[in-house]
Amino acid sequence: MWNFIKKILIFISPFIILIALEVIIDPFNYFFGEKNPAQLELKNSLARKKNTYLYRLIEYERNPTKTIVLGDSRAQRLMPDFFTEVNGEKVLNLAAGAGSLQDVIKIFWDLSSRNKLDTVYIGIGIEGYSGTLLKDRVSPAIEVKNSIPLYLMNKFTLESTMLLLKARLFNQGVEAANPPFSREQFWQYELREEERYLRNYTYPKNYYNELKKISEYCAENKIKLIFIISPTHTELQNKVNEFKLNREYERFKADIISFGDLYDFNWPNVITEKKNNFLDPLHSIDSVSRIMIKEIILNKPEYAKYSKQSTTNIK
Amino acid sequence: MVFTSFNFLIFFPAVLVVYFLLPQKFRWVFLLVASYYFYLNTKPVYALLLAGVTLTTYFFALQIQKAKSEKKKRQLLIIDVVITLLPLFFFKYFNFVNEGIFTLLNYAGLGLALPQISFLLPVGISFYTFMALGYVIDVYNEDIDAEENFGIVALFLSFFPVVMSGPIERASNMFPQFKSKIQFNSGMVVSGLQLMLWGYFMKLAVADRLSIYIDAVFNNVDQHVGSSLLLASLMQPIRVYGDLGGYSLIAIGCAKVMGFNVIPNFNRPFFATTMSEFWRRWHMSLIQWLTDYVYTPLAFTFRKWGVWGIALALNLTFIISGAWHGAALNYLVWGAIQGIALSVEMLTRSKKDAFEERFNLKTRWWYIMIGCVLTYLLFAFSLSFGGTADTVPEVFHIFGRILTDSLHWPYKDGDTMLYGFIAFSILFIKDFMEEYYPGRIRLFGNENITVRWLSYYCVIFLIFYLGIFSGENFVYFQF
Repeated sequence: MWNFIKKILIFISPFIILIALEVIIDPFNYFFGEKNPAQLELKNSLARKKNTYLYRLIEYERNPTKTIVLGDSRAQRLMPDFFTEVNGEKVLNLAAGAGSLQDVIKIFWDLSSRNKLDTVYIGIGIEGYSGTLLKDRVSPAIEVKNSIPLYLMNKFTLESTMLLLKARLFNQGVEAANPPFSREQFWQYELREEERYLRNYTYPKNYYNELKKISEYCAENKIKLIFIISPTHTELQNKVNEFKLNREYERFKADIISFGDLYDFNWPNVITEKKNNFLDPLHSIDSVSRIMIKEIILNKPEYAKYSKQSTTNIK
Repeated sequence: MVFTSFNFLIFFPAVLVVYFLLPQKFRWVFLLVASYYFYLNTKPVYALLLAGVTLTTYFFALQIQKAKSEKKKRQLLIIDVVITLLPLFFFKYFNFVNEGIFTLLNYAGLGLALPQISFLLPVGISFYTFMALGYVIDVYNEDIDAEENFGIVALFLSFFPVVMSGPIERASNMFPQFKSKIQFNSGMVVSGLQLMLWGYFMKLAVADRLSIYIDAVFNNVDQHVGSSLLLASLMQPIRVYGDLGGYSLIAIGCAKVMGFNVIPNFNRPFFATTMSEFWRRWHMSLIQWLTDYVYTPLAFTFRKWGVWGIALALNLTFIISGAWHGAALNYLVWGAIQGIALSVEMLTRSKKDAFEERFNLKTRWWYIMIGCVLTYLLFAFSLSFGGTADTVPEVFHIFGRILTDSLHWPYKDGDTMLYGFIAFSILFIKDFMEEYYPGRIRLFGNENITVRWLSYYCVIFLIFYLGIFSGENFVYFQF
């Protein structure tokens, strides 16, 4: 029997070493807040990319803010620093690349159940406001965040630990990787992706009801709920027309206005007509993000079409 | 407590250590306490129900054995069956019957609303009820002696590896094991841990991964195109196999680590070429139970009608199986589909055998493959009634969408589909090798310790990498 126990101990020893490494390196700052700026940057570039939601939810747990930004990669470009530049306010951006509305809804309920929120910005687009986009990456992240064993025994922690260990051992810094596509190729790729989303578009009764609940909750709890439609290049905007989704687009906007105030930057104008204002047809450059944030915070819409929440629209 | 919870990962090793350190005569007592602790972790009050069923079973088994006349024995058996089934009927069928009565009254112009009762179905009730009934019927049939030690009966019905979702054990298998002296056996422990490891892979990497896609589609039927519904319907049997098959392996493995042999529940079901073969490989403990206690007596009763009597017995057995799975009309339809398929196979067997022999088809790989695919499709189709949707009209709504709205790309969830496909492929290859080339490639069973340990590490890695750890419950907990 003792021989057997000895074998079991040898067998599990790699796992014990791994767990020890995960605790020491702590890629998502679960156990300790990272004070070393270089390490923080490294974690931000390696671990956050592995699981943005987990990283940000833990960050929020450590430093809760009253203002949050939720949404997809377009909303992710609304950097917290840009908010601070305008009014000195601390903001946490919990948006993530390929984030779905499902993710937005799940984060909202998780955060609002634990902290008092003042303002919630939700980046939204018609592609995301679709009945079939149901991907939920937030629930698993919340589960992991709430459980030490899950944190230690999931692939994101493991992978990030290995990457950070490698970076530490070989003294690697944060390096910008070469993109796999040329700008033009990526531009076309994003247009094709947009077509794919629009082709499968269905009206989201499920999201309508969920957002309505959020809207009612915000009204009851005096939380400012602001929706943002980020600018996209006109080439991409035209896809809505191409797929004959104009009526759906109008309905989408009407729905959003019934939930909260809306800043719509996505219409043909000086910004959206110029390719140079975009990294790709979907994502604007930093200076555009700065303009957007300024217009929203100061409520001086110039490139945004502002619509105040309409109470008559609620079905 | 569920097998996939971290509580269980602490509970089980702790139970093992104490179990093997205790003197033999106290071990069953400790297992009984541990089993009730395990069960109490779900909803404590329902442990009273389990205790009630245990008390009834113990009492009536002894009384039946003591009864002098056949008539008295029969009366006692009927009373026991009624009392044992009462909680199951109440918790599972009350609202179903209630709604039925309400509908009938409504047709008669009496719109009387009877009170609805809202409660959770006690976990495992369908399983331990069947185990209890099986034991008492065995005593009645004089296949087994009534157990005088109340603790052994209580342990049999609450034994923690099987109490939640089976396998549906037999007293004749478990009583002698509970009473025997079990020595620590490293071979049994290793073999049990191997089963558990594979069970976790099936549950976490296959079933829970596919559940993400299937639930996303079936929870929002109207938002999805027909092709997504078709794809999710086709994934459903794999999900259930991963779920219940995985659970069963963990349960069997747990018991084995402690030195107990529990009956198997699955035997590579997707390599069955006919429905009758499928049902000899799928949820075997339930089917064996139904065969012994429902089908055989029914077939005996209807024997004067020849093959048609057998067909009737088959249909009734599977309709009862459907009712056991759920209190709704769709489950009965699910049972009827199985019954009809098996009856057709039985009635055409001689002609089919002659045809196969004439063209020597039974050994042709393509013929076997067609048989496997058709059996799978038929089962997937029937499963639409067996839990995919809540009502028959909803099932037809799904079928309608599949038939009219499938010329689109299905809903794409890249990670889930890719990881699910990898996990299922690994499971499929393992089952395929064991089915057609047994012993050709040995990983867990390899004599070389390096190969063996590497394969363990690989599977653990795959579970971490492909698995879902969000505390998904087991599908069969609802039954």
